[in-house]
Amino acid sequence: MREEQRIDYGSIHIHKRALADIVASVIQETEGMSLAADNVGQRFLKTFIPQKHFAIHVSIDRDNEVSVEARVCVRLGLNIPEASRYLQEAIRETVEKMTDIQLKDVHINIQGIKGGVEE
Amino acid sequence: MRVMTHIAMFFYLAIITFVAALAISFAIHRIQLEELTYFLSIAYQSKNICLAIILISVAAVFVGFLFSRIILGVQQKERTIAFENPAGRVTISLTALEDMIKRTVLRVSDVKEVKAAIRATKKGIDVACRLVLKAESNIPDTTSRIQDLIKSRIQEILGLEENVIVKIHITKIMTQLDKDGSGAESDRKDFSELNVPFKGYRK
Repeated sequence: MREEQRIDYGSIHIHKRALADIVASVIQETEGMSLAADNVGQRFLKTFIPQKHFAIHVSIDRDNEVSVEARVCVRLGLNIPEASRYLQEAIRETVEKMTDIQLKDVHINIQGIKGGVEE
Repeated sequence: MRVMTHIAMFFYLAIITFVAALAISFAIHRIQLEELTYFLSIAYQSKNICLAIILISVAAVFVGFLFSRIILGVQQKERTIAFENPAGRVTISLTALEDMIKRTVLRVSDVKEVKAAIRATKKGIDVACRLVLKAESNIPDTTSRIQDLIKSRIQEILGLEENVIVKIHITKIMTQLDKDGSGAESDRKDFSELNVPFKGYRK
């Protein structure tokens, strides 16, 4: 449930939700990227858990290594491999800078492309 | 989730088998009509049996819902293109690409409607487009323009040098009549303007 670190004064627990919040803010600040929209069930659940990001999944394996999976939408006209590589690096660097946790994997799942005639 | 899937599968199979066995027994007259009526009347009068029936029915609906989610989830998972970056895996939903193609093709002035379906195969990316065109469009020109547009757009957005095969199927050509459906209306107007003698007299 929580990523644990020990320092001289005691232990620090970082909740998965905190990591998800960091990842969400990185995605929102990245040009041309946004979090994928929640489905009906997730929107219903969000009324009870408003803080939860359903588009971001943080997992901790047996070796205590953290992986992140994010479902995102990209703007029309972006080169997806370049943009996703940039986003992966940004997520990795920001999480490391803020929490001292080295992410094992950052999986990006492109769920939609925004822009065009209907937007 | 795997345990839940197994429980759901077992439960669903049990219900289906029971209902099927009952139906077959009834059809081949292994169950007498009197027996069935007797059992149904007992079930109707007993509160416990009614409660059990309600519980089983609710569970059946829940299991059906779970199955639909599992099947849809599997389909969703299959419809992706994936590639590996040093930092992790990137998957692109084919639905997202289909949506993007739809919006790109709708920008072409001769296109009225479009449906796109993408398949990722070993040979490359297979795009099938079903179009409704406007009557005034030149079909060879428009279709080749659309094929080039889709191909370049996919290669630009995916950044891959993969082979993109674009198949186009024109399902309908919209004429002026289809657009506003005013043909019959105009005919009616013409008749109404005629001056009919002795019009309006009634006994």
